[in-house]
Parts: sequence; structure tokens; C-alpha cells
Amino acid sequence: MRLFEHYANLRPRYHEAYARDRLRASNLVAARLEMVYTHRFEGYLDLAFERDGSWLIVPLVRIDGGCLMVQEASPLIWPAEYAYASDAVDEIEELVIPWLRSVVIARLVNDEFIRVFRDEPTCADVFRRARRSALLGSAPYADVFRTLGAAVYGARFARERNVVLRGSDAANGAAMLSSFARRIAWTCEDDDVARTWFSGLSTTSIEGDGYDLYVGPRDGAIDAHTCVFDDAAREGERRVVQPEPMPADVLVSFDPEDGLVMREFAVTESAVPLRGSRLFEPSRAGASAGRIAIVVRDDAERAPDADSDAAHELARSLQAEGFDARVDIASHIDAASVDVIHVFDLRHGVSVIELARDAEAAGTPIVVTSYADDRAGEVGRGISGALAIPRMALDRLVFDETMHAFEARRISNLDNDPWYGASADLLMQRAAAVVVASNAEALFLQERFGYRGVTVPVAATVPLTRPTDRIGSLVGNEEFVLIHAPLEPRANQLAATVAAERRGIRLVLVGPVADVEYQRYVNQAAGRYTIQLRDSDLTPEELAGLYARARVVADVGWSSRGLHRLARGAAHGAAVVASVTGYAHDLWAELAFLVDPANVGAIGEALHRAWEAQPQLANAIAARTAERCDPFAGLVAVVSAYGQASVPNPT
Amino acid sequence: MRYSIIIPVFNKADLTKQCLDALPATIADAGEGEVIVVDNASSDHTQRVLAAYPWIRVITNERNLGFAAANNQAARIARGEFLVLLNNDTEPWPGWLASMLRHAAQPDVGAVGALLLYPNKTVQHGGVAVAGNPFGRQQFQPFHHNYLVPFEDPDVRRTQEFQIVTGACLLTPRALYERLGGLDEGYWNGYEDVDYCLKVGRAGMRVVYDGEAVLYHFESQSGIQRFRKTIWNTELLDRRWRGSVRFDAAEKMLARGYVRHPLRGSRLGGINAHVLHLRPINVVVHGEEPPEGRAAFERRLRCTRAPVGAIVWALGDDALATAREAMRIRGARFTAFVRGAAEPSEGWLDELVRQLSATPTTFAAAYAPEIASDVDNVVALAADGRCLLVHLMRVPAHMRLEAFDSLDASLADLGLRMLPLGFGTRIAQGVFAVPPVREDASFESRHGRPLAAVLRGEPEAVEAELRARPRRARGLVSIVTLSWNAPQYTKIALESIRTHTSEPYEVIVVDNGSGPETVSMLREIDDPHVRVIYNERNRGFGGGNNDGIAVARGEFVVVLNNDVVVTDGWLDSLLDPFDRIPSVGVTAPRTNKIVGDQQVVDASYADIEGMHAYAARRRRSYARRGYLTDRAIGFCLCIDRRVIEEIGGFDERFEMGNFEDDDFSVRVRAAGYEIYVCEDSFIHHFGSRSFVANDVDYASTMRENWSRFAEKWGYPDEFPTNGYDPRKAIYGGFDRARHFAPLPTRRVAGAVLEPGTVVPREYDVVFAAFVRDEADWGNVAEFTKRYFIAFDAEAPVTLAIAGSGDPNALTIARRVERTLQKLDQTPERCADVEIRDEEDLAAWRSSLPERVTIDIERIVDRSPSALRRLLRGVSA
Repeated sequence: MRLFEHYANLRPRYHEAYARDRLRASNLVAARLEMVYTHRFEGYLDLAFERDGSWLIVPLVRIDGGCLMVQEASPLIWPAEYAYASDAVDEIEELVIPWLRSVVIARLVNDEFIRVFRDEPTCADVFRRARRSALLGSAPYADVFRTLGAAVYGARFARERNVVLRGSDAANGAAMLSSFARRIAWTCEDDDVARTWFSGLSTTSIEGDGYDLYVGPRDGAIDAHTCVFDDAAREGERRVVQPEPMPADVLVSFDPEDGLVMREFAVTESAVPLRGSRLFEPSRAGASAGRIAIVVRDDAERAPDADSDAAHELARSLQAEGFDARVDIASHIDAASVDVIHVFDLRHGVSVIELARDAEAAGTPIVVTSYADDRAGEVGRGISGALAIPRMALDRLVFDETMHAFEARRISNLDNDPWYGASADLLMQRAAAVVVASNAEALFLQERFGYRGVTVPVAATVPLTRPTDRIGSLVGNEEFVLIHAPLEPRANQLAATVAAERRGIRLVLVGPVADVEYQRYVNQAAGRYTIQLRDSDLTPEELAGLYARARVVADVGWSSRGLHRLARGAAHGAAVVASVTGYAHDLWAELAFLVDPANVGAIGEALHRAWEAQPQLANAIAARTAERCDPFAGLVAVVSAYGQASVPNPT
Repeated sequence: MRYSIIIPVFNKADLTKQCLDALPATIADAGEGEVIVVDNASSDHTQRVLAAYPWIRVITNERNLGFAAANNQAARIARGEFLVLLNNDTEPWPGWLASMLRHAAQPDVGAVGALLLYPNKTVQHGGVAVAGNPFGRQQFQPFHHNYLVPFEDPDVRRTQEFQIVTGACLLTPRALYERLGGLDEGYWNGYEDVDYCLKVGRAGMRVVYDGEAVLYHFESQSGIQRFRKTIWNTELLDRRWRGSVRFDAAEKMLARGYVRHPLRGSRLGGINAHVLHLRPINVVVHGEEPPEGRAAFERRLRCTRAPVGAIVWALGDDALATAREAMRIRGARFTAFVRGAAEPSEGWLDELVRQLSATPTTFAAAYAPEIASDVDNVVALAADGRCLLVHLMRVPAHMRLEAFDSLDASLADLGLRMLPLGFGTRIAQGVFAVPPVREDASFESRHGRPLAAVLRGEPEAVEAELRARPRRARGLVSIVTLSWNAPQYTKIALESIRTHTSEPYEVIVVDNGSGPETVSMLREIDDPHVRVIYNERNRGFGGGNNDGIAVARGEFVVVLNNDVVVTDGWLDSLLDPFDRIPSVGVTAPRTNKIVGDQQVVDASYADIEGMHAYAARRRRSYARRGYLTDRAIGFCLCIDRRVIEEIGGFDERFEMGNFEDDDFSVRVRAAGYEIYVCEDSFIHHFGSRSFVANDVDYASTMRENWSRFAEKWGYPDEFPTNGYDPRKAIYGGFDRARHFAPLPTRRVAGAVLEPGTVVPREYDVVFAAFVRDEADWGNVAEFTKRYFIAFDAEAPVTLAIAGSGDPNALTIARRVERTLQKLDQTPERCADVEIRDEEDLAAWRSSLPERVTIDIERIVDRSPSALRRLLRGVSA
């Protein structure tokens, strides 16, 4: 029996005993096959079982189309929660697979195919009516998921809560939220067939009050702590948009870049408790002068990361001290018209080479904040593997097996290109001073680039934006692990998501989408415990609020861009989980939980331990962070680097 | 003004500069025109670059409007008669525009595309062909024709029509562009050019690819959005054009000779692109003489773009044999069958090729007017041979046409047998003049339905057919294991077989000339499942196993090393794929220690209990999972009896060990059988115990055997340290005359083991010999040699040998065979021998006909001439 864990948040949850009784070949009423848009031969199967008038709906069974044609293994990959039913599954596969194969032989399989296995009038009638009502498991995904937006968004508020739903989308929403909520009450127009179709779910009719979450129309809304209205947002509410669902891996999205926006919701806002920070805005002396060009990656605007945060924060601090400091990409900078060029990150395009040459011609010194952290020389390989593994591992067994091999460094056919290109070599040759996070980084620069010039240690430049506590509409009231990085293999969010989901740890991923294919895999893995937010949807204060609310901050990427984002959370007392590839140990020593980014199990364990230990570690972490990341000391150090780089008249 | 070149840009200023720098010199011969650059809110130094070209018109947008909107925006202010949409990541070659304008001057041309090359001068775009998508949301797949082909290729430089050309360089009349509403802005940086070309086609205009207009295309991407919206673009395109786009990939194949096509899965379930080569198609004419005469008929058959090779006339009694031969012509990829009563019309074969290339789950395409329609997606349950094209590479080599009253029935029968393998028969569009179905009594008798009934191929009928396939009975399994010293391992292996095998089995231990300790251990085995063959010398892996296989009685034969420990369910898992996958001929397990990917990487058990626990876990987790491969290692192979009958045993030219399993695998695959490695069958392997125990130079043996393998299959003699590609040998096909590896004859051994199969015969003389021990054998061996020299198969004599245990009858039989080999005689031509195991020699002796039996101990002069004289005397 092949299993997978994808889309756990979208499937209704039944009691095991109930499901066992119905999950049998003899109870199978209908199967619905629908193709999805991927680059693989892939589709999904919805199965509906009935026994004695009660139904079991198993949607989103994955079809490995390759195995329908080349019979290497079963083409059906089952939701992991049915692992206990392997014998029943064997019988069901024996019934279903010949049908699937016949479809593949006899047709171009591009559409929806339905096979009714039991044509008793009652069953067939229920199936037909469910389909007309676009109930989950009976109708095309685009129709079903169009109705699910509000509930999917509301899921972040639903865990172990009392939930109530009303309106035309309530039945599907209730089915989907059944895997989250403690108690669910709902009503909808086609109540009769919907209650039959979802008869196995422990839901009730609406009675009384005391609900934590309401999902439905604003008119006739039931009072609850949080409401997700199927309506335009009013003042004080958060506007959430839902693009048209595609029959693909992005089934329900709140990102307008995923398609044409077709619905919007309003979410009532609430405050959450925040932790205070130990980092404070330093008093400004001012009166300094000098023209500083701070250079960021060409794609920094599109894919902001810790380096660009730090660059902007440094620019703000320098400006406050009277410097003429601006942040820009290399091709926009005129080397002759500035006194210092401060390049953030070593991974730049060719334009930085031109800039470095211009700087040399103009006699303008270059200071580099290197973020050089590929000491083991495996970042290229790591990134390649982080994408290749989900690409080829269709089921959990292959995923785990491949991850084990990856962790043991047994997979050899991965891209092992040097992580640093020609621009890094040139920058390090031309750098008059380098800002490093730790002595270990300085040593690495010496070993990797032969750099023996001035190094200035500045652990992290942390943005000091004042947080807002009005972030309840984003993340609910529960604590979470925060990973703030562009969604891409380098940042390794997939491993963190799988680890968190398996451990039942709430994870909030914040960042732009830098790699769309990788986003697909993260979407699939993001189940009941993961929330994804686009940082472009957040105000700086809301982002600061997330840091102040996070219980754990994590960076399990193959290469980070410094310690800034970890330090930002740690300043509030959040526990730190970081990759061994970076320099977290130099900053927090034993207070940080270090992991191998290839080891999903270790990441899960570290997240769990950090979560448990946070209350005890909070003060020590915050104090250590405040001590090592003092904004004023950091600014002084950077300015001294400018001085040592012989910047004329730096102060 | 003749033309307006429109270049939308978003960043990548350096590429824009390169493109603009190249333009003036390359368009000088194109007449008067203008260049409009639309800057879609670039954030780099694009504006600075554009400012350096005063001869261009620039539109600057405050936000990125996307490719379609930017082109439309420029088209609205364009003054040229023709619009030229051009990407900024291109570098034109001289004369490109003048050439495109020449084609555009024709009144019915609505769009002209160009040849776009990668910097290494391979094709990025040479027109866009369309293939059907067999399994996926999108019904059709546009793809770049001639992708990565060197630009010197004549087809690349040939101007031809397509449905679609790329918008990276697309010329179209401005009036038409306006009439069609320009590029559809519903797409986001993708497929708007495809959509536009399809609109041009729908408007009745031609889309021309100009192979003389050449540009480099650096194919850079302008950010992640391009891919982010891919799904949306795909959906939109599919919604708009589903059902109205012609799958023209095959037409391009006909012109080109090949097409890229998804064919089969890999180990991990992905689908690999496959290049399908179209070679000359041999046509078999059968059924009846064409009324118009053969020559005229042949001329009609050749009226098609698809290349017709030989035309084979399969009429009369040997029609089936002729058809079989036509399907085995070396190098052929397709064979067409046409009834003499059919009336082939022009292009008859092209449509069949088009249908065959439509999906990877089709092995044949046919005309069947009874179910054909203008719907382009009809599959038959199976089709008769009135006009049928068979894709030979999808028909396993071992699946021959079977004998029926007519070839029509033989071909329909083949179709039915191909269904469980996952292949159907597509029905060609249009009505081709074929005669009505001619019913065939033999077909109806065997399949229980008339021939016409199998034409109907709705999914329900296919499903019913798949469900009706009876499960195969497993029967006896013969386990053949070699022993060459290291007796402790043999003992462990046998014990594990006894403990962990629940299927009916027999074990044949072939001792390859071990020392006394091993022989003694083998003699002590007291197990009714186990038989032992004692060889005097080491016959190598191949020879030893062949000795065992020759006497195996099972429906399946498992060749198993003696340095293994099998685990619970091992054999069940090895047998299971034969039920599930009809084309599987050999299965193999995973193990802890072996060369190649059969070795698991996570077997970290410390002792035998841990190993069994690991194997049990693995069996549960990996139930019925595995992968198809071209090569399985010989330490354990489970072989279907029909494979042995088809390809024989191991090739004995490989001495001691190594590469005989490679050779066997190649022959299995070449014969059209699959090799399946079972993830759920785990066998512990100590590894090379025989080599270690016998102090064999492993490396040297391997090199020598590689040389033999290389010579046999045409590989370079140099040892391939990084492995070799077996497909080279496999694709050569299985040639029984050259590749069949005969087993030691069963006639000699058969007389002992299967007495029922021996035809009783009257003898004038029976020579009786007792073999109680090796000393006796020395005496008998000498007599046997002279006996074979003295007599041949016609002589009315037999040599009856009885063994009483050591050596036993099997061992004696092997030795007798080798005596024959040394004398260069074959079992078919030698005098008869009967060999038995007999515990009671006296009883056996008394069972022989007393009147004509002579004990060889009593014969003093054993020279061949004396023996012949003896026979003559007795006969007289």
C-alpha cells in the first residue's frame, strides 16, 4: 500500500472504526478520476463508500499515471491516515485498477472520469445529488475548491475549537474542518443530501452559542471569537482573496499571483500576546557624513531575504547618523559618486563585477558583508537535492528512503557546483574590509577565498520595527515556529514542513515565492499545522508582530543569509533552531538547536525540543542576543569598517 | 512603411543592447520600417541602454503589463504593414527579416515564424508541432519540432507549414493582428503566441515557418511569474482550443523520419521522452489476391507519405509463417497488414501512423468502418487484419501470431493478448475501403465470440476483458543452487529454504566438483525436496546451473546462490509479479550485498534475527512494489519456464562466474520479456563465498568474461569501469539461431527422470552396468566411451546404467553427456542410454530382459570393433 501525506488539511476526518467498517471494495459506490496540471502523468481519485445508508468519502487519492502504464507498483497512493487498512485497500485496488487501466488504454485521459460500481437507485441518487451540490468527493476539484476558500483560511483558527458554518459552502467547509475542530455545527441549503454524503463526520446542527470560529455570510452571522465572512472586508477586518482554483497542486490559494481573483473574504481581527524585545533603538549622535551605496542582489526586491532586511536596516541607521546611505542593485550604482560601496552577500550577477571594476578605477573602497557559509561545500548539492527529492518521490516511502540516502550523503548524482561564482571571487579580491557574523566565517573566508584583510564582526543587524499585536487574523491565537525566508530549495522549507507536520508543531512560513515548483511541493506537504503567508501582504509592523509572537524561530536552510532573522526572533526570547551550516552556534552556543538540513527527523526533533525548552531558555536567549546584536555596537563596527577601508571623512 | 518590429523588455538590459546592436545590419535589406521597444517597468539600467538608440521608439510602462499587453500596446501605434514580434533575448542573423517578409507577401499567409537557435547552433524553435497528451489535464501538448537538432539538418532549414510558431519572432500582417484582436491578454507571458497562431489558422490563413530566417535565441526568463502562471496559461489554452487542434506530430514525423514521444515509465514512475524513429514499413498482403492484380495493388499501397518497405505476399498455406517472419525482420519498427480485397486510398498508411503515435498505450492502429467515426479517439478491443499497422517495439518479441483459420483472426487474437499488457488498438479516422469482417470459426471457437465482436472497444469492454483474465496457477518451483566447496553456506541456504518457503518446491543442488567435505555434507542431506547432481569438475556458473535447469520440473526455475539466507515470503514475492504483469519473464529480489541497484542501502541488521525482522518489515512496507530493469544479478533469478524454452539456459562460454547473468538478462529482454526486481523480496547474501573459498582471482575472471560478453554483443573490449548500456544489445533483438543457449540434453537424463516420456524400444542387446561408487564409475566411463564410438542411434542396443547413490543418476547423466561432447557426438545421434537410481541393484538387474542383457563386467574385449561384433553375433 503506497501512502502519502499530502493535502491532509483538505480531507475529512472519520473515526477509525467508522472508516474501517466502510472502507471495503463491496461498499464502493463510485470512483471519480480527475487529471491535474503537472509535468508528470498525475491525477487524483475520489472514492465514495456506503454501508447501511452511511457514507465514507475518501477524496484526493493520488494516481501515479506512470504506474498505470508501466506496472511497477500500484498506481494508487493513499492518504496516510488509511495506513491501517492495507487489506481492504488491496481489494479496492483490485476493483478500481482494471477500470483505471481500461480508461488509459481506451482514451486520452484528460478529463474527469466517473465509474459507478454500485448502481442501487438510492446510492446512485445520493451520488448524483452530491455532485450537483459540488460536494467534496463527487464533483470536479475546481467546483469544490471554489467553495472551500473561507474554510481553508479559517482552519488556522479552528484547531480544537468550536466551529460553526453557514451558507452554501458550509457542508464542504465542515467536512474539511472536521480534521481540525473539536466540535462542528453547520447548516446549508442542500442540507439533506450533504448530511447524508458526510454522514460519518461528527458534526451537529447549530445550537446555542460559544463558538470560537464562524465561517459564512455576514448576514445572519453567528457570534464567534473569529469570523471569516464571505464578503468584502470592512474597516478593521483583514481582506483575503481567493484566486480561481486550478486543477493542480495549488488547489486553494490566497495569493493573487496564483490566478484570477474570484472571491474575497473578510476576517475579523484580534490581538495576540507578544513578547517584548531586548533590542532597543539606540540614541542617535547624528552629524556624520559620507556617501554609502549599499548593494543588494538584483532580485532582492522580488525575493527579499535576511540580507536585504539587514541592508535596509543598516541604511536606516546610517541615515539616522547623518550618512547619505541608499540601498540599490549593482547596475544602478555609479561607483565614482559614492565614498564607500557596501556589498551585501557574495552571490551576485555579472553586474557586480562591472561595479567592482568601476570602483577600482574610481578608487572607491568596497566593504562586503559576505554571508559566506558553505563550509562543508555542499550547498549546491543540498539545494539540488531539496528539489530533486520531492520531484521524484511520489509516496512517503520513497520520500523517506530518499531522504535517508540524502542525509547519509549517498545520493551522488546531484548538482555539486561550487556555490560561489566568479563575482564572489572578485568581490573578495577587491574587498577592503569584510563584515562577518563570526570568527568562523572569517576563517572560512580565509580558507575559501584566501582573504586576509580586515574583518569586522557584526553578528546581526536586526530591524527594530515596532510590532503590532493585531495579527490574530493571520495566525490565530496559538504560538508557532516561524521561518521567514523566500520559498525556495535553498531555504529548505519542505523539510521543515514535513518535520513540523509529522510532529504536530504549528509552523508559519513567511516569504515570497522564489521557486514555483518548490512552492508546489511545500503546498502539498503543508497540512494541518502549516500556515503560509506572503510577506508582501504584511505591514512591517505585522511582520514584527510575527517575530514577537513566535515561540521558535528557525532557519534550516542549506545556506542562510546571515543570522538577522533568527536574531530578530531570539531578541524576543524565541528559541532558535538553525542549520549546522550557518553560524548560529557562534552566537548562541548551547542555547541554539542545530540540525543537519538533510535530516527531516532531526529537524522535527529539534523543533520539538526547542518548543519545549523555550520557556526556560527565553531569558538567556534574549539576553545573549541583546548582548551580541546591540544595534549601536553593530553600527559602530560597520562604520569602523568603512574607516578601515580608508573611506575619506567617514565621520 | 513595410514593417514595425516590436520588442517588449523587462530588465536584461544587456541582452536588449545585444539585440538592438545586431538589428540595423540584419534588416538593411528589408525595406523601410521601425523598431518599437516597450519597457515593461524594468528595474535595471534598461532605460539607460534604450536612450543610446535614437532610431527606436520607446514606450515606457509604469508596471509590467506582460508580453501580450506590451505587444498590443505597440501594435496600436505601429505604422508598418507587417508587425514583427521579437524577443529582446534574440540576436538576428543577416537577411532574416527580408526572408520572412517574402513569405508574408503571399495573401493567404497569416503568420511567419523563424528558426531560433541556441548559441551552440542547435534548434530552440523550428516550428511547433502538437501531440496528444495520453494522461494529463491538457489534451494536447505543443512542442518545439526539431528541438536541439543541429541547424545544418535539411529539415530544419526547410520552410514548411505548422499550426503554431513561436512569438519570440513572429511576423504577421498588422491588419490581421487587429482583426484577430492581437495577442490575448488573458495569458500571462506564455501561450499567447500559440493562441494567436491558432486564431490565424481558424481565420483560414496559413502559418509558415521560415527556415531561412535565422536568429539566436538566448531564451532567458524574465522572472518567476512566467512559470507561476504556466498552469493558468495551460488551462486557458486547453479550454479555448480543446478538440479543435490537430495532433500533427505524426505528420511532422512522416516528413522528418522521427518524433519525440512519451513512451514508458522509469523506475520512479516518470515518463521519459522517447524518440520514435519511422523506418520503412513492411506491408503484408493476405487473405486473397487483389482483383486488380499484384502490381497494381502494390502501386496503390505505395501511395502514402509514410515510407513503404517490402511488400510481402502471405497467401496460401504458409501465410502464417510468412506473416510471422515479416514481424521479425531485423530493424523493422512497424508491420502493416492489408487484405487483398481492401482498396487502399492515398495516405492510408499515414493515418495509421498518426493514430499509432497518439498514445503510448497503443500497439496497433486499424481501419474498422464498423466502429470508426470522425471522432479522433476510438479504441478497439482488438482489430482484425483487414488493414492494421502493428508497432513491433510494443509487441514483446516472444508474442507470435498464433494459428487460426485466417490471419485476420491471428491478428485479432494478438490484440486481445496485448490488452493485459496495457496496449490497445486505435481506430483510424475516415472510412478506408476495407472488406467486411470475415468471420473465423477457429477464432470463435477459441474465444467464444465472433471476430466482429472484438472490434468494439469502449472502456467498459476493455475493463471487462482485463477482469476476465484468469490468474495464473503457480505450480511447482524448482530451485537450482550451485555448490562449490564452502559447504557450511550451502547448508545454511538449504535450511533457510526449508524454513521460509511455503510454495511447492524442489531443490536441485549442483555440486560443481567440490572437495570431499562438501560432497560428504551433500550426501547426508535427507530431504525429499532435494536432489543433488555431482559434477566431476567445476562447470562454472552457467554450466552448473544449466545442469540443474535441465532436470528441473517446475513451472518456474529459481537460480539461487548457495551463499544466501532466504526469508519469509521470499518466493511468494518473487512469483507475484508473474500474476500481475503479463510481460514479466524474470524476477529478482533485493539484497544486502550485491553489485548494482539490487543492493539495499538501509540493511543495518546485526544478526540473523535482525535480518529476518528487517526482511519482514520490508515485505510489509514494499508489498507488491518493484521496478523494471534491463539487468538482474544472477545470485537469485526467478525464471518463467516459457523464458527458458524461448532463450535456453545460461551461455556456458562464460567461465566460473560474472557476465553470464548479464548475458542472460540481455537475452531475456531481447526476447521481449521484462525483468522485475521485487522490492518486497529480501534475501541475505554473504557474497562471493565460492570465490573466496576457492581462492579465485575475481577481477581477472571478470575481465576475461567481459571480453567474451563484449565479443558476443558487439561492445568494445576495454573493460567498462563505469558500466555499460545493455540497451545496445537488447535493441538488436533475440535471434534464436545465434542467441539460444541449449541446456544439456534431457534425453539422457530424461530416461531416468521422466520414464514416461521415453518411447519403448526393442533391443537386440542391453549392456548393463552398475555404479556403486566412483571406482565403479571409472570402469563404466571407459566402457561408455567405447560404446558410443561403436554404435549410433540406429543400432538396436542400449546401455543401462544404474547408480546406487554416489554418484547418482543425475551425476552419471551429466558425465555421460560430457563423454558425448568430447566425442563430438550429439544425444540425438548417439546410441541409447538409460540411467536410473536404483537402491536394489539385483532387482533392477532382474528386471532387464535376460535373453539380451550382458553385464559389461563380463566383456573382456571392449574395443568398438569387438562390441560391434558382439552385437552382430547376438543379432544373428
